[in-house]
Amino acid sequence: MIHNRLNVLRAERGISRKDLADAVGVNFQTVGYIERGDYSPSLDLALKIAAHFGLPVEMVFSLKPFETLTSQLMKAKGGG
Amino acid sequence: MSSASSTRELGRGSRRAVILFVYGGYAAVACVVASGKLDGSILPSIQAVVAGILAWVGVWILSRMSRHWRWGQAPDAMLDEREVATRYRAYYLAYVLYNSCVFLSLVALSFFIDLKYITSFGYPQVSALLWGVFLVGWTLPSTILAWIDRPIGDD
Repeated sequence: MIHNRLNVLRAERGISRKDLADAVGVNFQTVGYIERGDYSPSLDLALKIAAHFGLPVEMVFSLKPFETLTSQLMKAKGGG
Repeated sequence: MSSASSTRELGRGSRRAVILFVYGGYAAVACVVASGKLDGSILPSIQAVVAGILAWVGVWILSRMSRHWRWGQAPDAMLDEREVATRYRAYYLAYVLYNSCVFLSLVALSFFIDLKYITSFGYPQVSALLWGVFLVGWTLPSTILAWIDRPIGDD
């Protein structure tokens, strides 16, 4: 399974599934399926999505689960 | 393929109920016609009524499940990669299911003829059988898509 940060990134940028879907040329339901982990995108689509957010693909998709925002904040607070 | 979900589109449970009703109807009609126990003079009238009901149900289904119908029939270029992948899965399931149904129907037909349950098998029965085979083969991929699809809304 491929994990992703699409939910967080969309919320952060304030864009809907439809906006993202239109930008990368897929059905908005496909974005929902990817977010839910029910569909793993092709490399082509993953790169398009990452490029849309202006991030490296490994910051959007990963084979391992991403750290939650809470644990990242706690680490940041603990570190300094 | 258009991505917008029609407000008139049926939910997953309702779609499944319609599919069971229609395919159950196919099976029931097939059993009645294949039995050959109907009076030959009323068979054309029954076929006309059944054809009318199927046509009406078909139009209604197309209006409420049109996205799945188009999804099953549209060229690959009109679909995105997930839709194409899902449709390939539906085609595979349809192929397995269709072959299984045809095989089981042939076995059942042989048994019923041997047991003298089917006493005559003429043009009306052959015609009904071939129409059934055609309609099921034509509609099965879209039907499977309608069965397995779990739509996600835009937020």
